[in-house]
Amino acid sequence: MAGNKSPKTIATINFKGGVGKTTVTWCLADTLSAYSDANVLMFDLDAQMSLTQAVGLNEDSGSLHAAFESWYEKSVANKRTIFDAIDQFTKPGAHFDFPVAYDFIYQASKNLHFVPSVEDLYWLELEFFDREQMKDFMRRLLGKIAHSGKVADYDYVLFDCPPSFTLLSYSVLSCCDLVLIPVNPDFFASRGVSLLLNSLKMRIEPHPTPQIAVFMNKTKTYANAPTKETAFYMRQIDQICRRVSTEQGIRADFLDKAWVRERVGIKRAITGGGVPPELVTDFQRLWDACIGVLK
Amino acid sequence: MNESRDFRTSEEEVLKLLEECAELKRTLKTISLQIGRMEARVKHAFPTAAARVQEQRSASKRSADPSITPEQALAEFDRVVGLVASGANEDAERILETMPAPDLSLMAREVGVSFPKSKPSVRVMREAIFGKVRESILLTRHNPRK
Repeated sequence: MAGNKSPKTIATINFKGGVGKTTVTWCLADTLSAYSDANVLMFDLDAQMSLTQAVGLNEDSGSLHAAFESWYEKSVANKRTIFDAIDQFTKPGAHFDFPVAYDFIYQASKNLHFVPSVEDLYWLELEFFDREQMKDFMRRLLGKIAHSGKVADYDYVLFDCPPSFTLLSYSVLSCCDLVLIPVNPDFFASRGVSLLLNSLKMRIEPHPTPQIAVFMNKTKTYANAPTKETAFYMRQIDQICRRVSTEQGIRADFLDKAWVRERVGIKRAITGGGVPPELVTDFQRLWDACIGVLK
Repeated sequence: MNESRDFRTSEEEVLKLLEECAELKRTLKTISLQIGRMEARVKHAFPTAAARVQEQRSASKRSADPSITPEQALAEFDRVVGLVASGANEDAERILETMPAPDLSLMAREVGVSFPKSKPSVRVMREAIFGKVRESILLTRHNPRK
Protein backbone atom coordinates (compact mmCIF):
# COMPACT_ATOMS: atom_id res chain seq x y z
CA MET A 1 0.00 0.00 0.00
CA ALA A 2 1.30 3.42 -0.88
CA GLY A 3 2.62 5.76 1.78
CA ASN A 4 3.33 3.21 4.50
CA LYS A 5 6.99 4.09 4.77
CA SER A 6 9.14 7.07 4.06
CA PRO A 7 11.98 6.55 1.59
CA LYS A 8 15.62 7.18 2.41
CA THR A 9 16.74 10.36 0.65
CA ILE A 10 20.25 11.02 -0.63
CA ALA A 11 21.43 14.30 -2.17
CA THR A 12 24.59 14.33 -4.29
CA ILE A 13 26.18 17.74 -4.02
CA ASN A 14 29.44 19.61 -4.48
CA PHE A 15 29.83 23.27 -5.42
CA LYS A 16 32.87 22.34 -7.49
CA GLY A 17 31.82 21.49 -11.05
CA GLY A 18 33.02 18.39 -12.87
CA VAL A 19 33.54 16.12 -9.87
CA GLY A 20 30.95 13.65 -11.19
CA LYS A 21 27.72 14.48 -9.33
CA THR A 22 25.42 13.60 -12.22
CA THR A 23 27.25 10.42 -13.21
CA VAL A 24 27.47 9.20 -9.61
CA THR A 25 23.77 9.86 -8.98
CA TRP A 26 22.78 7.95 -12.08
CA CYS A 27 25.26 5.09 -11.57
CA LEU A 28 24.09 4.60 -7.97
CA ALA A 29 20.44 4.64 -9.02
CA ASP A 30 21.10 2.29 -11.93
CA THR A 31 23.15 -0.17 -9.86
CA LEU A 32 20.59 -0.15 -7.08
CA SER A 33 17.61 -0.68 -9.36
CA ALA A 34 19.36 -3.28 -11.52
CA TYR A 35 20.83 -5.42 -8.73
CA SER A 36 18.08 -5.18 -6.10
CA ASP A 37 14.30 -5.08 -5.86
CA ALA A 38 14.36 -1.54 -4.50
CA ASN A 39 12.16 1.11 -6.12
CA VAL A 40 14.33 4.11 -6.87
CA LEU A 41 13.28 7.67 -7.69
CA MET A 42 15.84 10.08 -9.09
CA PHE A 43 15.51 13.89 -9.32
CA ASP A 44 17.46 16.16 -11.63
CA LEU A 45 17.47 19.52 -9.83
CA ASP A 46 20.11 21.17 -12.00
CA ALA A 47 18.83 23.75 -14.51
CA GLN A 48 21.65 22.65 -16.83
CA MET A 49 19.60 19.44 -17.26
CA SER A 50 22.61 17.17 -17.76
CA LEU A 51 20.97 14.14 -16.15
CA THR A 52 17.69 14.76 -17.96
CA GLN A 53 19.38 14.92 -21.33
CA ALA A 54 21.56 11.91 -20.57
CA VAL A 55 18.60 9.77 -19.46
CA GLY A 56 16.55 10.78 -22.49
CA LEU A 57 19.31 10.67 -25.07
CA ASN A 58 19.46 8.02 -27.75
CA GLU A 59 23.14 7.19 -28.10
CA ASP A 60 22.77 6.02 -31.72
CA SER A 61 20.79 8.92 -33.11
CA GLY A 62 22.11 11.63 -30.79
CA SER A 63 18.55 12.87 -30.19
CA LEU A 64 16.02 12.22 -27.44
CA HIS A 65 14.36 8.82 -27.22
CA ALA A 66 10.95 9.12 -28.87
CA ALA A 67 9.16 7.77 -25.76
CA PHE A 68 10.91 10.18 -23.41
CA GLU A 69 10.56 13.11 -25.79
CA SER A 70 6.81 12.70 -26.15
CA TRP A 71 6.38 12.15 -22.36
CA TYR A 72 8.50 15.23 -21.60
CA GLU A 73 6.60 17.45 -24.04
CA LYS A 74 3.29 16.41 -22.45
CA SER A 75 4.68 16.99 -18.96
CA VAL A 76 5.76 20.53 -19.89
CA ALA A 77 2.52 21.30 -21.78
CA ASN A 78 0.32 20.05 -18.93
CA LYS A 79 2.38 21.92 -16.31
CA ARG A 80 3.51 18.80 -14.51
CA THR A 81 7.18 19.65 -14.14
CA ILE A 82 9.25 20.25 -11.01
CA PHE A 83 9.08 24.00 -11.73
CA ASP A 84 5.29 23.87 -11.87
CA ALA A 85 5.29 22.08 -8.52
CA ILE A 86 7.43 24.88 -7.04
CA ASP A 87 5.22 27.49 -8.66
CA GLN A 88 2.12 25.91 -7.13
CA PHE A 89 3.79 25.53 -3.73
CA THR A 90 4.91 29.15 -3.52
CA LYS A 91 1.61 30.75 -4.59
CA PRO A 92 0.59 33.05 -1.74
CA GLY A 93 -2.19 31.62 0.37
CA ALA A 94 -2.80 28.64 -1.92
CA HIS A 95 -3.02 25.04 -0.70
CA PHE A 96 -0.25 22.89 -2.18
CA ASP A 97 -2.46 21.09 -4.63
CA PHE A 98 -0.09 19.43 -7.05
CA PRO A 99 -1.30 16.03 -8.27
CA VAL A 100 1.50 13.46 -8.38
CA ALA A 101 1.24 10.74 -11.02
CA TYR A 102 3.26 9.33 -13.89
CA ASP A 103 2.84 12.51 -15.87
CA PHE A 104 5.19 14.08 -13.29
CA ILE A 105 7.44 11.03 -12.81
CA TYR A 106 8.99 9.29 -15.83
CA GLN A 107 9.39 5.51 -15.66
CA ALA A 108 12.91 4.96 -17.02
CA SER A 109 12.71 1.25 -16.16
CA LYS A 110 10.54 -1.02 -14.02
CA ASN A 111 11.98 0.18 -10.73
CA LEU A 112 13.99 3.26 -11.70
CA HIS A 113 11.81 6.35 -12.02
CA PHE A 114 12.85 9.89 -12.76
CA VAL A 115 11.77 13.50 -12.24
CA PRO A 116 13.52 15.51 -14.95
CA SER A 117 14.73 19.07 -14.81
CA VAL A 118 13.41 22.00 -16.83
CA GLU A 119 15.08 25.15 -18.09
CA ASP A 120 12.66 27.21 -16.00
CA LEU A 121 14.75 26.33 -12.94
CA TYR A 122 17.21 28.94 -14.23
CA TRP A 123 14.66 31.61 -13.30
CA LEU A 124 13.90 30.19 -9.88
CA GLU A 125 16.34 32.43 -8.03
CA LEU A 126 14.92 35.52 -9.76
CA GLU A 127 11.28 34.69 -9.14
CA PHE A 128 11.54 33.53 -5.53
CA PHE A 129 13.69 35.53 -3.17
CA ASP A 130 12.53 34.20 0.14
CA ARG A 131 14.26 31.03 1.21
CA GLU A 132 11.70 30.52 3.97
CA GLN A 133 9.12 30.31 1.20
CA MET A 134 10.98 27.35 -0.30
CA LYS A 135 12.35 25.51 2.72
CA ASP A 136 9.51 22.96 3.10
CA PHE A 137 8.96 22.41 -0.61
CA MET A 138 10.85 19.13 -1.02
CA ARG A 139 9.61 17.70 2.27
CA ARG A 140 6.00 18.38 1.21
CA LEU A 141 6.55 17.10 -2.32
CA LEU A 142 8.03 13.83 -1.04
CA GLY A 143 5.02 13.52 1.25
CA LYS A 144 2.71 13.94 -1.74
CA ILE A 145 4.67 11.29 -3.70
CA ALA A 146 4.49 8.86 -0.77
CA HIS A 147 0.75 9.34 -0.32
CA SER A 148 -0.41 9.79 -3.92
CA GLY A 149 -1.32 6.12 -4.40
CA LYS A 150 -0.71 6.62 -8.13
CA VAL A 151 3.02 6.01 -8.24
CA ALA A 152 5.31 3.33 -6.81
CA ASP A 153 6.33 3.12 -3.17
CA TYR A 154 9.88 4.35 -3.35
CA ASP A 155 12.55 2.88 -1.13
CA TYR A 156 15.18 5.44 -2.09
CA VAL A 157 15.12 8.94 -3.54
CA LEU A 158 18.30 10.34 -5.08
CA PHE A 159 18.81 14.02 -5.92
CA ASP A 160 21.31 15.37 -8.44
CA CYS A 161 21.90 18.87 -7.06
CA PRO A 162 23.24 21.89 -8.95
CA PRO A 163 26.88 22.99 -8.46
CA SER A 164 25.81 26.00 -6.39
CA PHE A 165 23.66 26.67 -3.36
CA THR A 166 20.20 27.41 -4.81
CA LEU A 167 16.84 27.68 -3.11
CA LEU A 168 16.05 24.21 -4.39
CA SER A 169 19.23 22.71 -2.95
CA TYR A 170 18.41 24.46 0.34
CA SER A 171 15.01 22.81 0.27
CA VAL A 172 16.59 19.39 -0.38
CA LEU A 173 19.45 19.70 2.09
CA SER A 174 17.13 20.73 4.88
CA CYS A 175 15.16 17.49 4.60
CA CYS A 176 17.40 14.74 3.18
CA ASP A 177 18.84 11.84 5.16
CA LEU A 178 22.29 11.85 3.60
CA VAL A 179 24.39 14.41 1.76
CA LEU A 180 26.76 12.55 -0.53
CA ILE A 181 29.80 14.54 -1.65
CA PRO A 182 31.98 13.18 -4.47
CA VAL A 183 35.51 14.56 -4.54
CA ASN A 184 38.39 14.11 -6.97
CA PRO A 185 42.07 13.48 -6.24
CA ASP A 186 43.32 16.99 -6.87
CA PHE A 187 43.90 20.14 -4.84
CA PHE A 188 40.98 22.20 -6.19
CA ALA A 189 38.33 19.53 -5.63
CA SER A 190 39.69 18.78 -2.14
CA ARG A 191 39.66 22.48 -1.30
CA GLY A 192 36.04 22.61 -2.51
CA VAL A 193 35.04 19.89 -0.05
CA SER A 194 36.71 21.75 2.77
CA LEU A 195 34.81 24.95 1.93
CA LEU A 196 31.52 23.09 1.52
CA LEU A 197 31.81 21.22 4.81
CA ASN A 198 32.75 24.37 6.66
CA SER A 199 29.76 26.30 5.33
CA LEU A 200 27.03 23.66 5.16
CA LYS A 201 25.85 23.93 8.75
CA MET A 202 25.52 27.71 8.51
CA ARG A 203 23.67 27.45 5.19
CA ILE A 204 21.07 25.01 6.50
CA GLU A 205 20.49 26.48 9.96
CA PRO A 206 18.17 26.36 11.82
CA HIS A 207 17.55 22.92 10.30
CA PRO A 208 19.77 20.17 11.69
CA THR A 209 22.64 19.28 9.36
CA PRO A 210 22.03 15.87 7.81
CA GLN A 211 24.54 13.03 7.87
CA ILE A 212 27.33 13.79 5.39
CA ALA A 213 29.39 11.21 3.50
CA VAL A 214 32.38 12.14 1.35
CA PHE A 215 34.02 9.69 -1.05
CA MET A 216 36.76 9.73 -3.67
CA ASN A 217 35.42 9.67 -7.22
CA LYS A 218 37.61 9.34 -10.35
CA THR A 219 40.21 7.53 -8.26
CA LYS A 220 43.48 6.92 -10.04
CA THR A 221 44.53 3.35 -9.38
CA TYR A 222 47.63 1.20 -9.62
CA ALA A 223 47.45 -2.57 -9.03
CA ASN A 224 43.75 -2.20 -8.16
CA ALA A 225 44.38 0.26 -5.31
CA PRO A 226 44.45 4.08 -5.15
CA THR A 227 47.79 5.57 -6.21
CA LYS A 228 49.94 7.24 -3.55
CA GLU A 229 48.91 10.66 -4.90
CA THR A 230 45.22 9.79 -4.58
CA ALA A 231 45.85 8.29 -1.15
CA PHE A 232 47.38 11.62 -0.06
CA TYR A 233 44.16 13.49 -0.92
CA MET A 234 42.02 10.74 0.66
CA ARG A 235 43.98 11.15 3.87
CA GLN A 236 43.67 14.93 3.76
CA ILE A 237 39.91 14.78 3.24
CA ASP A 238 39.53 12.22 6.01
CA GLN A 239 41.33 14.65 8.34
CA ILE A 240 39.11 17.54 7.14
CA CYS A 241 35.96 15.48 7.85
CA ARG A 242 37.16 14.59 11.34
CA ARG A 243 38.10 18.18 12.13
CA VAL A 244 34.83 19.67 10.85
CA SER A 245 32.82 17.03 12.73
CA THR A 246 34.56 17.93 15.97
CA GLU A 247 34.57 21.70 15.51
CA GLN A 248 31.05 22.11 14.18
CA GLY A 249 29.23 19.24 15.84
CA ILE A 250 28.10 17.71 12.55
CA ARG A 251 28.47 14.16 11.27
CA ALA A 252 30.81 14.07 8.27
CA ASP A 253 32.30 10.67 7.40
CA PHE A 254 34.91 10.01 4.77
CA LEU A 255 34.13 6.67 3.10
CA ASP A 256 37.75 5.60 2.72
CA LYS A 257 36.94 2.09 1.44
CA ALA A 258 34.24 3.20 -1.01
CA TRP A 259 36.29 4.88 -3.71
CA VAL A 260 35.16 4.78 -7.34
CA ARG A 261 37.86 4.35 -9.95
CA GLU A 262 38.47 6.73 -12.84
CA ARG A 263 37.13 5.53 -16.16
CA VAL A 264 37.30 7.39 -19.42
CA GLY A 265 33.91 7.73 -21.09
CA ILE A 266 31.87 6.83 -17.99
CA LYS A 267 29.24 9.45 -18.99
CA ARG A 268 28.42 7.30 -21.98
CA ALA A 269 27.19 4.67 -19.52
CA ILE A 270 24.07 6.76 -18.90
CA THR A 271 23.13 6.90 -22.55
CA GLY A 272 24.75 3.58 -23.44
CA GLY A 273 22.66 1.19 -21.40
CA GLY A 274 24.20 0.73 -17.95
CA VAL A 275 27.07 1.02 -15.52
CA PRO A 276 30.19 -0.61 -17.05
CA PRO A 277 30.75 -4.08 -15.52
CA GLU A 278 34.13 -3.13 -14.03
CA LEU A 279 32.50 -0.29 -12.08
CA VAL A 280 29.48 -2.17 -10.72
CA THR A 281 31.45 -3.43 -7.70
CA ASP A 282 32.68 0.11 -6.98
CA PHE A 283 29.13 1.49 -6.93
CA GLN A 284 27.78 -1.45 -4.92
CA ARG A 285 30.54 -0.83 -2.38
CA LEU A 286 29.68 2.88 -2.34
CA TRP A 287 26.02 2.08 -1.84
CA ASP A 288 26.76 -0.30 1.03
CA ALA A 289 28.90 2.41 2.64
CA CYS A 290 26.07 4.96 2.27
CA ILE A 291 23.59 2.57 3.89
CA GLY A 292 26.18 1.92 6.60
CA VAL A 293 26.37 5.57 7.61
CA LEU A 294 22.59 5.96 7.41
CA LYS A 295 22.06 3.21 10.00
CA MET B 1 81.08 2.31 -52.08
CA ASN B 2 78.00 1.43 -50.03
CA GLU B 3 78.54 -1.68 -47.82
CA SER B 4 75.02 -2.90 -48.47
CA ARG B 5 76.17 -3.72 -51.99
CA ASP B 6 78.28 -6.57 -50.49
CA PHE B 7 75.02 -8.51 -50.26
CA ARG B 8 72.86 -9.49 -53.12
CA THR B 9 69.63 -9.53 -51.13
CA SER B 10 68.45 -8.17 -47.76
CA GLU B 11 67.83 -11.76 -46.55
CA GLU B 12 71.50 -12.52 -47.19
CA GLU B 13 72.47 -9.45 -45.12
CA VAL B 14 70.19 -10.47 -42.23
CA LEU B 15 71.65 -13.98 -42.24
CA LYS B 16 75.18 -12.59 -42.07
CA LEU B 17 74.23 -10.25 -39.19
CA LEU B 18 72.66 -13.11 -37.22
CA GLU B 19 75.81 -15.19 -37.68
CA GLU B 20 77.91 -12.32 -36.35
CA CYS B 21 75.58 -11.90 -33.35
CA ALA B 22 75.92 -15.59 -32.49
CA GLU B 23 79.71 -15.36 -32.74
CA LEU B 24 79.76 -12.30 -30.45
CA LYS B 25 77.57 -14.12 -27.90
CA ARG B 26 80.01 -17.06 -27.87
CA THR B 27 82.96 -14.70 -27.33
CA LEU B 28 81.21 -12.85 -24.48
CA LYS B 29 80.32 -16.15 -22.81
CA THR B 30 83.97 -17.20 -22.92
CA ILE B 31 85.07 -13.83 -21.47
CA SER B 32 82.46 -14.10 -18.72
CA LEU B 33 83.65 -17.60 -17.78
CA GLN B 34 87.26 -16.43 -17.69
CA ILE B 35 86.42 -13.40 -15.46
CA GLY B 36 84.45 -15.68 -13.12
CA ARG B 37 87.45 -18.00 -12.78
CA MET B 38 89.78 -15.03 -12.13
CA GLU B 39 87.42 -13.65 -9.46
CA ALA B 40 87.26 -17.01 -7.70
CA ARG B 41 91.07 -17.27 -7.69
CA VAL B 42 91.47 -13.71 -6.29
CA LYS B 43 88.95 -14.43 -3.51
CA HIS B 44 90.75 -17.65 -2.70
CA ALA B 45 94.14 -15.89 -2.63
CA PHE B 46 92.96 -12.90 -0.49
CA PRO B 47 90.08 -14.20 1.67
CA THR B 48 90.18 -11.38 4.29
CA ALA B 49 90.10 -8.56 1.74
CA ALA B 50 87.33 -10.30 -0.21
CA ALA B 51 85.19 -10.61 2.92
CA ARG B 52 85.74 -6.92 3.74
CA VAL B 53 84.67 -5.84 0.24
CA GLN B 54 81.57 -8.01 0.49
CA GLU B 55 80.69 -6.46 3.87
CA GLN B 56 81.15 -2.92 2.49
CA ARG B 57 78.83 -3.69 -0.40
CA SER B 58 76.10 -5.02 1.96
CA ALA B 59 76.42 -2.01 4.29
CA SER B 60 76.09 0.39 1.37
CA LYS B 61 72.93 -1.41 0.23
CA ARG B 62 71.49 -1.36 3.78
CA SER B 63 72.04 2.39 4.16
CA ALA B 64 69.86 2.96 1.07
CA ASP B 65 66.89 1.42 2.89
CA PRO B 66 64.69 3.78 4.92
CA SER B 67 64.92 3.53 8.70
CA ILE B 68 61.20 4.26 9.19
CA THR B 69 57.96 2.59 8.08
CA PRO B 70 55.46 4.25 5.68
CA GLU B 71 53.13 4.88 8.65
CA GLN B 72 55.93 6.59 10.56
CA ALA B 73 56.76 8.68 7.48
CA LEU B 74 53.14 9.89 7.30
CA ALA B 75 53.06 10.61 11.04
CA GLU B 76 56.26 12.62 10.68
CA PHE B 77 54.72 14.49 7.74
CA ASP B 78 51.70 15.36 9.92
CA ARG B 79 54.09 16.62 12.61
CA VAL B 80 55.80 18.88 10.05
CA VAL B 81 52.40 20.15 8.85
CA GLY B 82 51.40 20.91 12.44
CA LEU B 83 54.63 22.82 13.07
CA VAL B 84 54.34 24.91 9.89
CA ALA B 85 50.66 25.59 10.60
CA SER B 86 51.57 26.93 14.02
CA GLY B 87 54.34 29.12 12.59
CA ALA B 88 57.27 26.99 13.74
CA ASN B 89 58.79 26.82 10.27
CA GLU B 90 62.37 26.52 11.50
CA ASP B 91 61.54 23.48 13.62
CA ALA B 92 59.82 21.91 10.63
CA GLU B 93 62.80 22.59 8.40
CA ARG B 94 65.13 21.12 11.01
CA ILE B 95 63.16 17.87 11.05
CA LEU B 96 63.47 17.48 7.31
CA GLU B 97 67.14 18.52 7.32
CA THR B 98 68.05 15.83 9.82
CA MET B 99 66.22 13.09 7.97
CA PRO B 100 68.43 10.76 5.91
CA ALA B 101 67.84 10.66 2.17
CA PRO B 102 66.10 7.22 2.13
CA ASP B 103 63.62 8.43 4.77
CA LEU B 104 62.96 11.62 2.81
CA SER B 105 62.45 9.56 -0.32
CA LEU B 106 59.96 7.32 1.50
CA MET B 107 58.07 10.31 2.90
CA ALA B 108 57.93 11.96 -0.54
CA ARG B 109 56.59 8.74 -2.05
CA GLU B 110 53.96 8.28 0.68
CA VAL B 111 52.56 11.79 0.18
CA GLY B 112 52.26 11.22 -3.54
CA VAL B 113 55.22 13.22 -4.87
CA SER B 114 56.64 12.02 -8.16
CA PHE B 115 59.99 13.20 -9.49
CA PRO B 116 61.11 13.50 -13.10
CA LYS B 117 64.48 11.94 -12.16
CA SER B 118 64.76 8.47 -10.63
CA LYS B 119 67.26 9.68 -7.98
CA PRO B 120 66.34 13.24 -6.98
CA SER B 121 68.68 15.24 -4.75
CA VAL B 122 67.94 15.71 -1.05
CA ARG B 123 67.21 19.41 -1.69
CA VAL B 124 64.66 18.57 -4.39
CA MET B 125 62.97 16.03 -2.11
CA ARG B 126 62.76 18.51 0.78
CA GLU B 127 61.27 21.19 -1.47
CA ALA B 128 58.71 18.75 -2.85
CA ILE B 129 57.70 17.65 0.64
CA PHE B 130 57.36 21.29 1.74
CA GLY B 131 55.11 21.82 -1.30
CA LYS B 132 52.82 19.08 0.00
CA VAL B 133 52.97 20.58 3.50
CA ARG B 134 51.80 23.94 2.12
CA GLU B 135 49.06 22.17 0.14
CA SER B 136 47.86 20.37 3.26
CA ILE B 137 47.68 23.65 5.20
CA LEU B 138 45.83 25.45 2.41
CA LEU B 139 43.25 22.67 2.29
CA THR B 140 42.20 23.31 5.86
CA ARG B 141 42.57 27.08 6.19
CA HIS B 142 39.30 29.01 6.53
CA ASN B 143 37.99 32.37 7.57
CA PRO B 144 34.70 31.40 9.19
CA ARG B 145 32.05 34.13 9.27
CA LYS B 146 30.57 34.80 12.66
